[in-house]
Amino acid sequence: MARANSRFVFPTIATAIGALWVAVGLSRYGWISDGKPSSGFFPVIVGALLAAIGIVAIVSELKIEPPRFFSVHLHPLLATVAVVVFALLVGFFPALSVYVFGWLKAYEKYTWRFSLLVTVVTIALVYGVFAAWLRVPFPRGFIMDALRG
Amino acid sequence: MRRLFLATVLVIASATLVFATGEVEMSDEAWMPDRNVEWYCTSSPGGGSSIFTQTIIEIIKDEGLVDQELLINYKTDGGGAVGRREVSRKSTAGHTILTFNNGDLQPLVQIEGGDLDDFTPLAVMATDGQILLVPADSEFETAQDFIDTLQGGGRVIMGGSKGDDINLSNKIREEVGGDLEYLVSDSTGDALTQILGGSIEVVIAKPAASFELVSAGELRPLIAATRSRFGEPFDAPTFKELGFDIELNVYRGIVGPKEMPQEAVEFWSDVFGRVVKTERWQEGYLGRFLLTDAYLPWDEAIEYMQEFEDLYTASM
Amino acid sequence: MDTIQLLLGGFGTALSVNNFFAAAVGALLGILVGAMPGIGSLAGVALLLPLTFKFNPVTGMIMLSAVYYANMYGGSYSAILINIPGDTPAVMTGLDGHPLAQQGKPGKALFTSNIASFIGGTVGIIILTVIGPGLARFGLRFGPVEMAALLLVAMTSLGWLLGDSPTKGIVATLLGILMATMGFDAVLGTPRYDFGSIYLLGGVPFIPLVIGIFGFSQVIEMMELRNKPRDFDTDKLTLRDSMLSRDEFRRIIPPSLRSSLLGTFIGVLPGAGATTGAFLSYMQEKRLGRDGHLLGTGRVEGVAAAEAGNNSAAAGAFAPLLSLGIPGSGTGAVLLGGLLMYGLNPGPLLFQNQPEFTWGLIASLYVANIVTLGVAIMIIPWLIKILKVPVSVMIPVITTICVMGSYSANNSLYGIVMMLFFGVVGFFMKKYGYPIAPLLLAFVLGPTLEKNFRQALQISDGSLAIFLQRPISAVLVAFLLITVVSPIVRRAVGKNKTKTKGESV
Repeated sequence: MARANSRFVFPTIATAIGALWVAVGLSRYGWISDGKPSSGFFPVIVGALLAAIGIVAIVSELKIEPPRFFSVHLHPLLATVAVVVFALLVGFFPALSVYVFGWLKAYEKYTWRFSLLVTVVTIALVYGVFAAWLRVPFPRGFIMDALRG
Repeated sequence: MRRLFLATVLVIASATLVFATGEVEMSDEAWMPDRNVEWYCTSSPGGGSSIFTQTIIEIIKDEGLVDQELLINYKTDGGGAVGRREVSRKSTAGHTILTFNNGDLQPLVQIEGGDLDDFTPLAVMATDGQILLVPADSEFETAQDFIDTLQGGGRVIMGGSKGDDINLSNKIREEVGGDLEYLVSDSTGDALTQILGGSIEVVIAKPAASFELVSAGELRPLIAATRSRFGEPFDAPTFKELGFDIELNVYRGIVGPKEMPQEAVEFWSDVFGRVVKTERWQEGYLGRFLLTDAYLPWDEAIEYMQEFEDLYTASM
Repeated sequence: MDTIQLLLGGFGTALSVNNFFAAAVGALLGILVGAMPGIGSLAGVALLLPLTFKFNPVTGMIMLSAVYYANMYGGSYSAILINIPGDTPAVMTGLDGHPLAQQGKPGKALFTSNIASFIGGTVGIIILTVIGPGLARFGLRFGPVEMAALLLVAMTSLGWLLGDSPTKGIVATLLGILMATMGFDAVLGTPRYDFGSIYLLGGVPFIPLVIGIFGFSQVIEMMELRNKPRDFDTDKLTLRDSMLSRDEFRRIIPPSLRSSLLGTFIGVLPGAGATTGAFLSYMQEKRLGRDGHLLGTGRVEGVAAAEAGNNSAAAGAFAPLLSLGIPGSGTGAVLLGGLLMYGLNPGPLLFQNQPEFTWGLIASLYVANIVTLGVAIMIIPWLIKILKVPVSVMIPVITTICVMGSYSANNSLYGIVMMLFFGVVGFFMKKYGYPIAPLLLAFVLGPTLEKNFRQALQISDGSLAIFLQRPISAVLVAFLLITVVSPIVRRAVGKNKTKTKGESV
């Protein structure tokens, strides 16, 4: 074998979840009480089925070539985490504006003009819908909170 | 292009400064909110709590009782637990309030391990009552038929909503006895569907949700779980009349965080006291949804809610 | 006939310039909100409600119903164009709609979706007008026993019929059900599988789940292809190429009508809704349609079935609301609140006591439906331009919307965290070929199945025989045995014969 087939990971996790649900369900939530199904009844059945099918899936999956992953897949995740942390400091809309603009300008190498245009349109859209209309109380960020007391 | 960008940055920066410093200084008179007030509601939009909250906010706006904006923050994570915990820890000097019914107090006490000390009660606004209903052609012709069936060991399938309705069904099982099977629905509406379809024999409902069905004669009132009888069309004997100690009141109230300045407590308690005097509240809310006026200012609200807490602690 | 006269009178009230304008504004807002993942029609209608009190009641209701309809249009737009369903029923629309867009035919998918939605809505309202109250009464006969049997039929076909590999489909389905068991036990009202966390106590938050598993996973996946050109000629994205050919028209009419009938009926049932309507209609098409086996590869019939089913179910849900005063869905509950505020009391006596307003309302549903269609078709030329936007630009824009939408679901950071988590889960599922749609549908339908099943056994005091004693459920159970169990047996037998062929992909 040239390299380990990563395909076993997902069905293995699924099997483990199924087994966990069976164990917790039987020990804590009960199977049948008073002749009628209890809290654990349904999750235990479904968990057992999942564990069983999961094993079938592990076996059949290993015959197939695994998909390939690239490091770029991680970029949006890391960027989003950074933006959310940034948003807690300076507020959502400033942080997201910087993110959209920065991503287009620095990462994708678009022009100033184009990046700015996309940023303005995007932020105006989400601001209009979420903040102005739906009145979602977005955090203003620690810095703003500190300034305003 | 670079110039355009710089200009934008400048505009944003100056706007930020204006917002940051453009606050009005406090006057030394009575306490008043000096910025937006965040009103937490731990149930979804559209439900009873949200109608309650929205109605109060609209009355406050129409009557000009508060100068600042009141914004509803629907926070339903963890069955409301997350929102409640958040409010209890806020120190916003009276700018955070929470809609708090006994449907919120019960899980707080019984599941989340909290109690009323986590909050500052501001007011009790109204109470609601529960009633048992049966289909028009039910074999339970009178309240006594229902009692006799249960006491004779018969099996009765009853339905209703969550929370208080479950409490009531447990209470009936304790006090009356018999083989009472209780089917929980997500809402009174779902429970009414079940009784109209014949899946259950008796349903627990609040008058507001079942008014049309009872007026139309589809369902008829059997027993009220309140202190005294409801008016028409919900006129039926109470459990007390039948000799059972079953009486559950459901209250709708408002609380603030644990650390709320006393001036703010008095301010809000007074505002809500004025809300309940408006015609819009009396007719448009209480009248329409058949609730009972039961306004209590903050000091009495504490005692009132405490009684419920003791009840919930006792039944754990 | 009296009904017709009253309805015409209703049109007299509903047709005015003001109302048209209100409906058009409502339609635009509804499409916008519907297309944003995370804000369902519930929030849209709830938040517009106070605004509409400033209008007269008929205008207010027209605007609200336009928002309600337009929401579903909008939900399928984002499903078709970028494979992120704006709401759950649109998951089914995306199954064929997005492949169509990828083949360079987004306009056709959008057009089909609009036409089918319109047919669904219209058929639904007509049925509502003619036999609404009677239908609502029939719907009542679906108690816990019948609903449990119906959902069992629906759920067992999930894994088998969606995706390439039945095994993977079933794994996804079962995972979806298990995820939904976290939080509160709906029958006993006690917490379970919360693992001591107050966040998990409320269960897996639905909106962040949808946004993450469809939306953010899509962003991660896009990274790989962002510098490749589209598979099709973007100059072909014109209104002209979006129009359906006569042949395509002929292909979508039968599935639209079939699904409209089924959808309306499903909408009337207690506890079922637009999602179940769309899902069962799609399944029906898969089984009954002439080219049913091709569904999922980008067929207009699939889009038509899902959309007609979803919109007619939404119309059907009005039947119990109007004639019994019982809201069939969360959005219905908000609309009920609206009706009450206007002084209208939905219930058995509604049609007798307040005939003018009621027929005005039904007429306004027609008006709202037509105006929404007009608005929706007019914006198609702009919508298809979205596909001309380079993928590398879409990435930060979609991410922004995902972050905003998942925060807004419960106004908490927890929503964003869950969104990111399910984004990663969804990405791996796609990579390994696990279908996402069954997971999401199972997540939605699982709790309803469990609750009805357990309540059925509460009614029967623990005896399973009840499922055979009730006529409706007996028929459903028989259907289940024939359609689901027999293919399993056939497959098992067949597999022995063709074992050398291996797994079909």
